[in-house]
Amino acid sequence: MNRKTAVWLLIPAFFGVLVFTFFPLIEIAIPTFQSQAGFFSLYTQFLKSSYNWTVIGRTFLIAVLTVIIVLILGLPISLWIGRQKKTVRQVLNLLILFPMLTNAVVRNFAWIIILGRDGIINKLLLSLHLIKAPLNILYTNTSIIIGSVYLFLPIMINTLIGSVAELNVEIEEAAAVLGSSPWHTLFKVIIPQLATSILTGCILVFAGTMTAYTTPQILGGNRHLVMATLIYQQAMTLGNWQNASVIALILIVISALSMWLMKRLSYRLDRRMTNA
Amino acid sequence: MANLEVKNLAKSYDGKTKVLQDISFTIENGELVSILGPSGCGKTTTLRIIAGLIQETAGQILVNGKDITKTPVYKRNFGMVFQSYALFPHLSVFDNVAFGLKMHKLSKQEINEKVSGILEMTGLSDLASQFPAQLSGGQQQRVSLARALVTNPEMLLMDEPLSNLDAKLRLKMREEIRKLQQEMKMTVLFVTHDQQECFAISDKVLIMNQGRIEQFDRPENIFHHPRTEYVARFIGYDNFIPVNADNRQDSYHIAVKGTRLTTEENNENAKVLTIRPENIQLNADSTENTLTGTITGREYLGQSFKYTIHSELGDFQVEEARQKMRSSGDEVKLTLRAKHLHPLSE
Amino acid sequence: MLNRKNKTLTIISLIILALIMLPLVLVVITSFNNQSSISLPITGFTLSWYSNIFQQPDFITGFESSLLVALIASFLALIIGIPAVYALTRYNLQHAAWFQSFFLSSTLIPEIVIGFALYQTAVITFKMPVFISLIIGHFLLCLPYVIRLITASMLMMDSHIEEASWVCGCSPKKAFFLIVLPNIKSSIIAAFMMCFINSFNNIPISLFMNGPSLTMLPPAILNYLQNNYDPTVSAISVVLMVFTALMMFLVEKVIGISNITK
Repeated sequence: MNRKTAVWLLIPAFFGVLVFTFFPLIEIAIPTFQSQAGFFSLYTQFLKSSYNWTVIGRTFLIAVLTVIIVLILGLPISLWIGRQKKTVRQVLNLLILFPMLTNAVVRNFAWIIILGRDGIINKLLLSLHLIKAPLNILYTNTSIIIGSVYLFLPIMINTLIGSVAELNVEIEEAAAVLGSSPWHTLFKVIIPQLATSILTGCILVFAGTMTAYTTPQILGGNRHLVMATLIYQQAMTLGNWQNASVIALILIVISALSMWLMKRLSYRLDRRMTNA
Repeated sequence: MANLEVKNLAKSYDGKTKVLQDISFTIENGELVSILGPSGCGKTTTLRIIAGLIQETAGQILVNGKDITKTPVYKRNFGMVFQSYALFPHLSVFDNVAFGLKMHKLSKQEINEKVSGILEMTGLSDLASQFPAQLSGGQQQRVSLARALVTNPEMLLMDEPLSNLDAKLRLKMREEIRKLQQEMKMTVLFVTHDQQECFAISDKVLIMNQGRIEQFDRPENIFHHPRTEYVARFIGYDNFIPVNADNRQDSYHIAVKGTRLTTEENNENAKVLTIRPENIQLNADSTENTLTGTITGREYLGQSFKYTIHSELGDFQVEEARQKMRSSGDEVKLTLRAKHLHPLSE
Repeated sequence: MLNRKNKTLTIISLIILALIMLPLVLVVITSFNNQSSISLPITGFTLSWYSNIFQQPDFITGFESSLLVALIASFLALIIGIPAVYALTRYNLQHAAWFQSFFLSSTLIPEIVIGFALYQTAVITFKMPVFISLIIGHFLLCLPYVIRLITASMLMMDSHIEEASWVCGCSPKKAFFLIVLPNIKSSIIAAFMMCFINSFNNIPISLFMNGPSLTMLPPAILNYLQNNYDPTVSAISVVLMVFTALMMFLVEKVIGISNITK
């Protein structure tokens, strides 16, 4: 077939991505290196501020904790759903898919109802006389983590269900015949087989949480900024475009680097699985 | 239908590795020719170049003497049956068959007539409104055949059309294809890796190996007179005795370690002598081309036993139709009749 | 064995499932409450918050522009993405894998950064209309879904089908419309649905370009939520959920929903 045709078919998409993704990135990157104080001076300046480090640290901490919690919650339910009969599985799939496709504002807003000063949890604890004054859960790191877990749990489950359904049950039966307890089988037989999908899920959740804007905006308030909300604040509230660009680039580097690391790891796992 | 001439066809994807080289052959009008070879020998590539699905690196393809090498696939008017049948999943049986006619811009009425005719001929009339996914393998095969034939193609190209069917259906379909081909006097090029299938239905067989033609002849000629050691091995000549300057005595005799073998054919250019396992006789009442050996292995084949016999000329594979089993370690006399002992030059 | 009959596993899973569904149920309940602030348990039933949605001009125009942008961006992504995927899966190109990851590269860049960079470059520097810039941003969001889903189904499709149509006398250009498109129909619908929903729900990309000249729905809700705390937010949330459910139902009817997550 004609190579020329192929080139024509590729051109619109190629230039679309090039011009509208990469060109703007370069556009905002260039001024950040043009400071009179030196090539990297804006970056060193940014990283000198302990406040900025707090934001970076918070972003990272929230992402890591979210991944861990999502994984702990997602694994058992994925195992359970993945092993249902096909019809049941499809219904459960829909139940998982529905929140995934629902607007993030809605999903985060739901947690205001639950976590707020007037929220269900406080009312419940007060009525049980477990606490005397309402707890401040909302607008803390905790509430951001809770919101992120809620936002990304369906994605993890959705990533895992497919591979769980493909697991060969005979392998577990073989392990059981050899004397492996169910608990032991879970950690030594099932989870190793799911390693690649688990990592894929973790990459999705980690990158999503790292760069999320909506959740920290709604559930974090102004005092608990993360990098994404800091970019918006710097640019739109303070009008400091250069600083916003600096944070944007740092965010790209951090998230790309972490994803690259995790992908390397999953590639190695993949090879181990296929060679075995 | 037409005759096809392929001249010096060559194909290389990277300029170095030759996938095909120097492929030349002719298919006469109304002939069914098979290309036989193991996977990767270039048989499908040859077929796809003739169809126009792959660009050749060099060579010419002529249909009725007219060069079609530069004609794009959709203007060649060939019929083709794919290994996967490649039926259009979104179209009914009727529309699958009508597709080519629509492309040739026939009137609705003509299309209806022709499609109904071919569906009847292939026994598919009742399935016209079904979709491919609802059909059995055999039925899909028939639809694919009907689709290929309905446009009155210059010739029919078949790429391992039977390999996805179970053994019983395969036999039935190959008979049907042969019958249809003879009734319609179709020119057919048939690609297969199944030797039995290919010998059963072909007028001529083209055996390929590593991108080259090993032999192109009538099936019975190939069977009795393989041209090369490769062909001989491929069609079941299991025994090979090397011929060289040391053991060749004259045009009709060689002698190895005291055993003298006579051939009916001239062995002047021979590199090797070959004989089929079933053509070696055990303990026959004859002194013609005889040597002795010891049985070292045995396989039961149902109709016969296959023995591995060690002799001073090396190991021989011998198939004996006698139901009385010989035992390992038995000493036997092997007779290699001169008329069955073929010298091969390549 | 850890199968679906394992009691511990079932209980844990049901609790997690409830935790996933419960917050959304609470939103629905609060939307009917007759108190002027969002609270539970509800003290009475009213539909006035739903009618209040229509008193908010930002919600109405926001819905319109979000719908329009999502539709245009999804179409654009399909029209530009499908030919690219076709080229990558059918032409045996040397750098096909490279192009593939290039087209997916925007998934590696945080959406908020895409929105910010696009706003600065397109809107501020090059003075492009906000509407056009928004569509470009949402197109970038949609393209990876098209590339992923269509590539998967192109690879699943037997390429011999196309060849068979050529042998039947169909030119490759015609075959693309008569054979290829009908056979990847369900993945086109799936891709469209993913594009549409994600574009319609998107905040980070719309955020910067959202303003007095053009309001998008999700930022408008976010804005309302930060200034008011009444059940109107619950009501519009319920409307959005119904909207999502309707789309899922439609897709389920047409192609089976399981197709869209692969």
